[in-house]
Amino acid sequence: MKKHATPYRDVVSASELAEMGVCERRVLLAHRHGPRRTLAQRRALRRGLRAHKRFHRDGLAANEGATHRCCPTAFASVGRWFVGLCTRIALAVLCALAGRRHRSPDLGEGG
Amino acid sequence: MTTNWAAWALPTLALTLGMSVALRRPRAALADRMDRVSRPSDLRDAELLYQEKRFDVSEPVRLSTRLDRAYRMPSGLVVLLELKTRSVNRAFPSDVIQLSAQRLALERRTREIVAQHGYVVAQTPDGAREAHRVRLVSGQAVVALVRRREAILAGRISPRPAASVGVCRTCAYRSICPDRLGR
Repeated sequence: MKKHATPYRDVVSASELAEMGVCERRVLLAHRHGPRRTLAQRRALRRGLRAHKRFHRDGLAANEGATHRCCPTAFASVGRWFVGLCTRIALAVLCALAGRRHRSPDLGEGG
Repeated sequence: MTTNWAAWALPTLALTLGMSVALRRPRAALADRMDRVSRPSDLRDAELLYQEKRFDVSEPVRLSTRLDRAYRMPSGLVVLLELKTRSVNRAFPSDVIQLSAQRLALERRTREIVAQHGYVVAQTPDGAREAHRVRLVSGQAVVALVRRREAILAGRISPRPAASVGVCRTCAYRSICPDRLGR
């Protein structure tokens, strides 16, 4: 049996199959001699990976927004009420603490 | 002193959490809106169904695919989209093959009805993106291509040279290609 630089797998990926649309000779050479890339191709590959990462991140963010959009109105309003309540309580506590700190010298003098 | 610090820290933490939750919602909604605007016009109302998702099939041929994005249209039809970074703003036959293979795998794995067209989003080095609508080939054509590839690798048939001379000019196998003299 002939030895190949690329181990033969009977499973083919969509991108490997797409190479058939570029050059069939290249498919055979890649199979016999293993993958080879020029410097420009390596750079393009890195650029592609970065772009895909960003595209994926954008998709995740958009999907989160779409989930919020699809959120039932009653559930969303309960969530908004809860966030508002927490914010008001936190603000009230901070105001009370600030007021007590401000008044304490007066109290001290009065006492 | 410790009690005083804790009394300040806890409400401040609660306030920060509350604010971040409250601000997160409009930010996510904005991201969704921006994403929809950047899509091809007929995908604006579609739901993002899959992204960066792998689908493998073993029948009728062993095929492994990873699709960039799949959208479900309001009609229920699934449309595939593939991102490509390249110096020229266009779609190539290889993109059609890749999307068609993804279509075959997705249909087999999920029983979803996948559209006969897809989109290739070409991103040029300046970051600009443009979507190109492409017509996909049938599942039978994909299977035939897989069989042809197997036959080429097994040495049963001769491979065809590249259709374009431009491919040869930038090919990493140029020095060992038997076809190089003619190009």
